[in-house]
Amino acid sequence: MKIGLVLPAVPGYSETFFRNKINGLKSKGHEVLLIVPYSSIENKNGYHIEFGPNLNGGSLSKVFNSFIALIKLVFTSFQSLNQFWNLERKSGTNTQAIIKKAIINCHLLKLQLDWVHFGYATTAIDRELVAKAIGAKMAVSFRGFDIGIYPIQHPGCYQKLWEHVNLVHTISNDLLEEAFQLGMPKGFPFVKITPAIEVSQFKSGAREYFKEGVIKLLTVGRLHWKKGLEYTLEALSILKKRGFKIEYTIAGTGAELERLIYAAYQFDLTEEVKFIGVITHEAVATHMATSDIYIQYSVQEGFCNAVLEAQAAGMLCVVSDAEGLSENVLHEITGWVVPKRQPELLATQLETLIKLPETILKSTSERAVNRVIDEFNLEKQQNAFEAFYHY
Amino acid sequence: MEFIAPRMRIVILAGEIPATTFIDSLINGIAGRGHQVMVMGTKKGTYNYDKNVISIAQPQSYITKLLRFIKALFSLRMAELKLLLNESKTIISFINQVVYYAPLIQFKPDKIHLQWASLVTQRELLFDLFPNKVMLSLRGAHINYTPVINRKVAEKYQILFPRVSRFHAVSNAIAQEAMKYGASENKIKTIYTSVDDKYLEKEIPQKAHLNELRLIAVGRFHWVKGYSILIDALKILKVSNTKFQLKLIAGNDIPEEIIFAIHQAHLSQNIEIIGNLPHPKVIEMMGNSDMLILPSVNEGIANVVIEAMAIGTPVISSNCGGMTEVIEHGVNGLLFNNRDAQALANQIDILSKMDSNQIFEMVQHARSKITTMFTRERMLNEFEQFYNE
Repeated sequence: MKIGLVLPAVPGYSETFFRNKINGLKSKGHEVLLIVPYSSIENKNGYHIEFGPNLNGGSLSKVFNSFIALIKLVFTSFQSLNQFWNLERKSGTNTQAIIKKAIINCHLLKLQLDWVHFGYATTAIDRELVAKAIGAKMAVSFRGFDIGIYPIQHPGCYQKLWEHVNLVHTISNDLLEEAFQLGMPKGFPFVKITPAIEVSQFKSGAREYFKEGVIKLLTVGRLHWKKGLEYTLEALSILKKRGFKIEYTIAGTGAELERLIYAAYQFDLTEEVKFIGVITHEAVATHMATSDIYIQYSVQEGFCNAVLEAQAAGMLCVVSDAEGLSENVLHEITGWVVPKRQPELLATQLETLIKLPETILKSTSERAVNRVIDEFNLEKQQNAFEAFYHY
Repeated sequence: MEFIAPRMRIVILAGEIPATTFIDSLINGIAGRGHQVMVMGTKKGTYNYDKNVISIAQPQSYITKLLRFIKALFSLRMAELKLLLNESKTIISFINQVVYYAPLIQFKPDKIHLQWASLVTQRELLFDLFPNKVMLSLRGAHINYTPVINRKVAEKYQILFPRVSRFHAVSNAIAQEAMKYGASENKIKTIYTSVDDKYLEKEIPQKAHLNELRLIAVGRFHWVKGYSILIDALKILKVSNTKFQLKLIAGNDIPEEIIFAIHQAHLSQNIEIIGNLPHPKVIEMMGNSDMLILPSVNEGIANVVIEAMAIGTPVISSNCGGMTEVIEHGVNGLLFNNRDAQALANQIDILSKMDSNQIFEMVQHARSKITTMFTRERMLNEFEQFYNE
């Protein structure tokens, strides 16, 4: 099959979800074309890529490029354009808006595909009729931001999407629930495929928790407000006041770095918290092997690969109940789930778990390791996507 | 008794002109008392200073810069040019240095007052050109958190602060912070901000209790303002069935984080975000509110709090920075433990349950605090002494 995957940018090295998916589909003989907005990137990471029109320059070059794109489309893909025009017209779009949409979608309208898969619901906005116009089926993925955050400021943004999409992919049940609240009709066809990881990269091995009475904690990810790191620091300051000896490592960087350094300072955690910046995948595995507790106390989270990796590495995982996290970790079975935005509760949960007998900690971690191996391995994810396109 | 200071020549390095309300009020106030003031900064809008003020905007275009450079070459002495040349790595930086420092040298100031600590690190030559004349204001992020976040800035302060002849601190708390970077205690003088006299003229009205609490918070969106803590506190109140409406007045774009937090806490019906408003309108809204809340994680001394106290609106503030120097908990306002949403919710609850006589007594105390410590008269007297010492 020929599948066009629409993304906001070419996936970077750390965006394992899309890389795994694409590699899996390719290995099963499908052709995957990445469809991304115009950019001047040199490194295509081995992908087959279709770029959008260049509409970045000044107004003169914008008009010129748009005109060229439109003329090209008329001569090369008249049938799709005509079909697109009729469909948009039927849905009540005015001529000017149709021309605009045709220009921004000119790279898509010239393609021949079996599936157009929008990698995030937001990437499908203003493109709802493109798949039908080129005679392809349309799929869309729900991933977190696009369902949890974007629609708050853009109510009704997916109304047209629900009318035209053939199949929905969600990474968690929670996101699906939110989509229903956003107006997705009940009974809509969907498939849940969670993220997955290369399990063999993480060795759980025998480990001793809290060596020499020091609680080593770790979080890996962008320093973004979604990640709830200020709440995490507050909880750790409570633990410190209760007499626990802690060391907290935060790997990653982002817009919130200054705010977090200052929060750590005000919470009297300057000695305990280390911001180590972005580290390699191998270094993540090393940190996971030598730390005790992985914390992901996000206020919003699609699913979170780092939590899967931490479980595979045998860490004790404490997460918030934001969206997919409570499916990623099962409370008191494979880790611990704490209501979000409540640092006092997080501190108490951490204290309770630190005081648990070693046998319970080990059995929790064992269940987590086994569950990740069984449920969240790459092969399973790749098979699920293969089945997805045969829906 | 008014302190009679001899006429002085004072340079104010403002960063930007017009500067903040407080700095502009200082410039005009000092000039209004007969001192010759030169204000320098990057032009950010239109300004209109007192007749005793010479304002010099940094040249934006290359041509203006070049013309000023040529003019300056004829007016500077050889020794000064040599010093500037020695400190310049390239011809461009030499031109920039000459254009920047020449007006200052020609002005022959008695004192050079830097309004922001970042200027100390950018203009080290001031110490060589004007020994014992460089004064620095300790205020804002430059002292409160930049050096905490950026070690290099802290190291630079350690080297340069001992060369500053006098420091003005906006609060005792910020003076303490600056001492961590080598500002010696005996060089620091705390001079508090001031409130516009007109707010102190009106009598304070006694407010009636309403069914629904009218809360107000004023200040741009920035993490230092602690709005996420306020939203967490309001969520606690909502769960306990307290009825309230918050007006949040902030001029800049609403961050996604705030929109999401309000949505997640189901508070969209309880919070109204209002964009840029003219200052008198803000004061009017403040006057129509039952309490002003300052949830900041750091402040020098927040002007909005001073204004609210002046006009008789009860204040609940975090105990951050210099706020404890203005608010005496339970006497002229209420304080809560910094960054503690539950503690803020408790204080809102306590204030909402106070009877109107208690509240009236509290706001009277607040007004008298302002009339003793935060008048313009007092501020200007102290600055005159500060420049003259």
